[in-house]
Amino acid sequence: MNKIILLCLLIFVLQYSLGQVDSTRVTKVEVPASYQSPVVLVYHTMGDVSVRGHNGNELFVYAQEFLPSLTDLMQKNKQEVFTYLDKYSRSPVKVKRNAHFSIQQKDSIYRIESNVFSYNSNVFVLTPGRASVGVNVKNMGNISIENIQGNVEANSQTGNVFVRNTDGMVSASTVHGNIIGDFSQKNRKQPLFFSTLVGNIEVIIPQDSKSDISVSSEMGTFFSNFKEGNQLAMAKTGNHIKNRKINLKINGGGTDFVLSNFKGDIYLRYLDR
Amino acid sequence: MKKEEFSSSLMDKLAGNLSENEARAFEASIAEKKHLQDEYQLFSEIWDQLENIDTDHEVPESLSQNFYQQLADEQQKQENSFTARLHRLKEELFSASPLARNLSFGLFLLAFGFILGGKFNTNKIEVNHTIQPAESNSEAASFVLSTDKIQQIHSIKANPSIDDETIQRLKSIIETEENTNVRLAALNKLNLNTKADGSLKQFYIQQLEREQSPLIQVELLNSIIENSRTKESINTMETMLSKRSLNPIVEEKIHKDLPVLRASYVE
Repeated sequence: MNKIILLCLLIFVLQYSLGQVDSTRVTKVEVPASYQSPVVLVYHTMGDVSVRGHNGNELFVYAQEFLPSLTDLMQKNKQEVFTYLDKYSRSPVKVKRNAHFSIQQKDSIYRIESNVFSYNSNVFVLTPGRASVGVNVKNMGNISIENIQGNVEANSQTGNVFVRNTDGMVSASTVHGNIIGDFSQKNRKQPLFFSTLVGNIEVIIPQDSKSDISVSSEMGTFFSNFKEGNQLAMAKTGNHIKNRKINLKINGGGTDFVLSNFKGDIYLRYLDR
Repeated sequence: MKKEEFSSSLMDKLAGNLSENEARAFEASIAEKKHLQDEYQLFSEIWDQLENIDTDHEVPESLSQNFYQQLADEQQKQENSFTARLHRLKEELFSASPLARNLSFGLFLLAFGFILGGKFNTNKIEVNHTIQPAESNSEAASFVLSTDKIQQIHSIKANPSIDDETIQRLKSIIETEENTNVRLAALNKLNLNTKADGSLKQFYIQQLEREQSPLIQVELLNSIIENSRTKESINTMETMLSKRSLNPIVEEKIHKDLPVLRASYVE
């Protein structure tokens, strides 16, 4: 009996060792160069999602699970590729699917949807940097989006959102979690909209950024190392404050930053070099 | 007398186990055989010498004590050795459950396999299939990211006030839009209206019950406190408090706002 158990364990270990990088779980999609601003949408049930931009024209998607699933062990994670006709637009929708997620392509929109039963998986996406990205985590999971030139949308229920080095408009919302936007590398020309119910919000921008800041926090404190921020945050009875909202202009005003939370602090700062 | 008979009778003779007749018969049988007599003579002398050996020596007390002390020390040393401790630990852990032993071993193998697999797995990622690009881009994508919608809302001019058509549009966005930030932007724009009329107050109250996002619920509560201090608002808040699915943060805010509203509501 012991020998049988040991043999099973050994087989399991071998499978696990070889299965750490499972080539069948990486999916590549060619994004034509003619699509100037493709849209990549990720819909995930539970787990972290990381999206990163690169200079190429390929979209890579990879789902990693904490433990190998029965599907992997049974070697049934085969990919399928098929096309169907969208009943509304009558245009073809190309689908590439494996046991963990599917990628649907309709024109320049790429919709990555994880399997509803992949509760413990983390999704990694490498997309052309020129794309716009939308990530939705239905239940719980952190979102990280980096190096994207298009617009960015990130929505989670419980989890942190981290956005770094993006050029387009950014909308990030979560119910329980922090939101961090690191845009310290260059001045933003496009607005930011961050909201969380319970959690801190932190925005890092260059010192010479020209921005119109709208901060709203019911039970939080606003901190800033910009001198305008400090003056207004301390002016408890200032005209700008209404319903725990603060509006201020950084370096004379410019790009809109709208930051809202209920409980948690809000930080607007530049990096002290 | 044969050799075998001689050997068995010899030891009995020397030990005195033979009767007189038997002893006489034995002596008579060897009397004529010189070599048996010699052998008998030799064994008799050895027997006498064995009987004369002094066997009454006693082990000195000190030697006895030292021996047992050394033995105890040696045993103690062996019990305290690393291997003995390891053995004892193993016994304590695994003697009761062979399953625990197997599982531990399995976990060790798992960790070993994980490390080994990570170190030596040099498989390159190969892709089985690639999707061919769509043949035409004739049908423009109808999908709009929430950022575009928020930007559209932000571009609405609110000075001096928002016209009725825009108010209806914003209401519709708050009712139907999925994205929290879009609804929040629409609500904030609606709140810029200097004076909320009756229908807008009604809308805030109705929407508070319909709304799923706690953050929007909080903003709606603020709008109600600001614009609609009525009995209906109080009733709505009390109804919400009875909901089991209410977010604790929103519940906390209602508990905070409700006394204020009760104290200042307008009939």
